[in-house]
Amino acid sequence: MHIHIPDGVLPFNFWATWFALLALALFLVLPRLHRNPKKVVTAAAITAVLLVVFSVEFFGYHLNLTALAGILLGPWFSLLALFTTNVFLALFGHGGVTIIGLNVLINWLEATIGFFLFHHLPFHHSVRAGLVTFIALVVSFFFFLAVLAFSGIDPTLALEERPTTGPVDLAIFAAITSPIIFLSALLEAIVVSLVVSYIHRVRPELIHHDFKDL
Amino acid sequence: MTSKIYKIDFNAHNGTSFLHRCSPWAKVVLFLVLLGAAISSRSLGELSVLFAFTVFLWLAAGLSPWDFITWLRYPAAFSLVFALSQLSIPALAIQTIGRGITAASASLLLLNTTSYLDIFSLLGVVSSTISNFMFLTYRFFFLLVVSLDTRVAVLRLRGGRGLRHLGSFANVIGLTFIESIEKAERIYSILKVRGYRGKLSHFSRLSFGLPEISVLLLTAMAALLRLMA
Repeated sequence: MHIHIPDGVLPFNFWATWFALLALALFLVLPRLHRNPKKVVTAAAITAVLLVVFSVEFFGYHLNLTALAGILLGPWFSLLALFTTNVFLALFGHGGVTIIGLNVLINWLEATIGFFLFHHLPFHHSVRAGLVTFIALVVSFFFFLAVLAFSGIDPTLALEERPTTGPVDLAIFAAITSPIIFLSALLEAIVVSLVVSYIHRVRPELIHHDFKDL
Repeated sequence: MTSKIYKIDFNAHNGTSFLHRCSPWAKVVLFLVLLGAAISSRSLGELSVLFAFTVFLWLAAGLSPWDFITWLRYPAAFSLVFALSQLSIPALAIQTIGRGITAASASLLLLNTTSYLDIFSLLGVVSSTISNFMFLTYRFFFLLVVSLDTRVAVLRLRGGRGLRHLGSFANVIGLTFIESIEKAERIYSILKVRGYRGKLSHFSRLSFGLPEISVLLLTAMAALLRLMA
């Protein structure tokens, strides 16, 4: 899930908090990545595919493939991959710069769920891939709703310079957005399932991790 | 988006204006001031002046006005979604769109006048891993985008449209992932021969001359416009 909120809509406290959390996550994760230069190169190539796929529309919808990034890269490298993807997209005007912090952390949640569930669920690999993608996208959507609910941010109030805390009508927001989210999660789950099935046929070692290599 | 990235890359590398010649650090400062001014502005007049200022810099850099209009479609569309919910206060709705496109035009100005290599090398001050990673991603992007575009075009020419051909599209994506990993393995072997141990060296121009002074003056002007409004 990629949130398209332009710059200047969200209040400073909100986006700065997510930037601080992102900085903390990168500070903790980056030293682990430096030790594996070969995987840095591989992860950069996979990140490029995420960007390439993002730039091509399939059926009028662009895929995110964040859960697949988690499956292929593991939780630590996927943070760097998703940070890079979001920075590139924001600089191209595809969403705001101020939303990078929240977008990266939501995407990282999807990738982490994708990775852990994929390696722990008992089903066939292609069913597992589809299922974990769907779960990851739905969980990240509810996480986003929870963020809105706990922060009490209403972008409209923030723009009017009125207090931005208070009840946000999440029911209406969820009612409008959830059908779109569920449909896109379903489409993405099917595509990821088919992609994983293809990769498994051609290079099965790519989706079966050596956990020491994370 | 692919052609947009190619065009931005071309503009950044082939421009000859004073903004193109200026050191990247000065342009990043200008970008941050313009972004900060845009997102903190509270009136339409202020936003109009900031936007006009960015347009002036865009034209002064010798960049195409048509590209500017075309590339601002996305941020304008995203802002419009929020603006629609504020139609009860029309000025507020226009401000929302104004903030979105002014901030986006600042980032487009930076990208079209500064090569990615220079921007990534500046990021190296914060973390060399991030800077190397972004540089490699950027190189791989151009290597892979052509093959995916070609495969998708071939698939569509053979009638591969609609949900019935979802499997073929997924195979194309899977093949691109495998191709990327194979390219990465090959490039890593080459880099290793050249002594790569996880760090690529690139030195950004950190000069301070007439172009930098002009850009800093323009930055100060943008900051003053914001403060005086």
